[in-house]
Amino acid sequence: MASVDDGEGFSLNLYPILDVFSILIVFLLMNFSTQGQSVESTANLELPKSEIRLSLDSAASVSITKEEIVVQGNLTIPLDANGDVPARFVDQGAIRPAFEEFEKLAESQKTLKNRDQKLGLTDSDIRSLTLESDKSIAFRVIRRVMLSAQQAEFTSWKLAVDKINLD
Amino acid sequence: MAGRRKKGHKAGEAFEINVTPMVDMFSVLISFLLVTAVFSATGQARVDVPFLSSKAPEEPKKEDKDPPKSLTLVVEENLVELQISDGKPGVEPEKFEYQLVEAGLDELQGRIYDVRKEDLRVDLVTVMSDDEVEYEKLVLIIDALRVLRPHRDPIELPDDYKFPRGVSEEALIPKIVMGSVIL
Repeated sequence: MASVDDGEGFSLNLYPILDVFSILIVFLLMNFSTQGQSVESTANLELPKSEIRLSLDSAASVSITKEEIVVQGNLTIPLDANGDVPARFVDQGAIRPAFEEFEKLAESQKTLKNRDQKLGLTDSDIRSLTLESDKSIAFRVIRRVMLSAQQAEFTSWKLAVDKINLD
Repeated sequence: MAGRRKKGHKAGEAFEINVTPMVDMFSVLISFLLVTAVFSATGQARVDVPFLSSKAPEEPKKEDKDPPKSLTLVVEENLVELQISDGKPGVEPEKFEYQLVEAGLDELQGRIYDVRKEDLRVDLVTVMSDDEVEYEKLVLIIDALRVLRPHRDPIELPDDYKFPRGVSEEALIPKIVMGSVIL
């Protein structure tokens, strides 16, 4: 709102905007969190909601959307119309190309671990993978992915979930 | 920062604080907070898959004469069955069925809570899931195993109890194994 002082001056009343900004800053500071990894949101990946309070830390990741499986951003395996892994990729229940990618990953993780040990750094969690899966994905797809990773000796999974309680 | 008296005004007549720098600062601060804040935080629930090793099995321990109960969850599309086994061969496990809804999951947690409270060695649940179960439902079950409902008191654990890496120290069941991930 402008106020005119008998033609002498013209000044904007900034107090209302200051009030709004103050409230906004208080709100933002109270909800501010820089902890945890942020999963890139796509139209085809909606994480399930969970009451788990632990924030996601970094680990090699596998994403399963309604249309494809992406291993560590390098390999993409399309899903068929039924949301299943096409038979040509399946070998003994596992996904052959995914297994090969996991093996490569396991090799590079071992090299990193050896380097860490030489440097005297703390033991890194090299047997873990992060699973970012859409909430509607059937377990049969997840089982195949886990089986492929298991054969490359990845035995632990961090399931990425959308936290309900923000700490 | 300090207010400036406009020229020509008499002393005490008008005194205004220049708020423009403050508005500038707030604008920058708000932009920064909006860009850096994580509003939708991502959490993690750790689970394990069975690992088959070619190593010879370890010698059975002495305490195996009184093994802890073993808990298995068989998950179907809208139903979850809890099997509590004494760990003794030839004895049928006790079975309890729950609906995959909030009340059912609360009852399931209650049963597991009682078993764990009775014997703190029971810290592992094996989850056998049907192929058609959606991921969202699995996460609901993992929530029931990990996050204690507010009306239940935390279980007191010995000081030397070690939680697996990546598992909260408030977890009801620290170890979850996806038993159906096997060749």
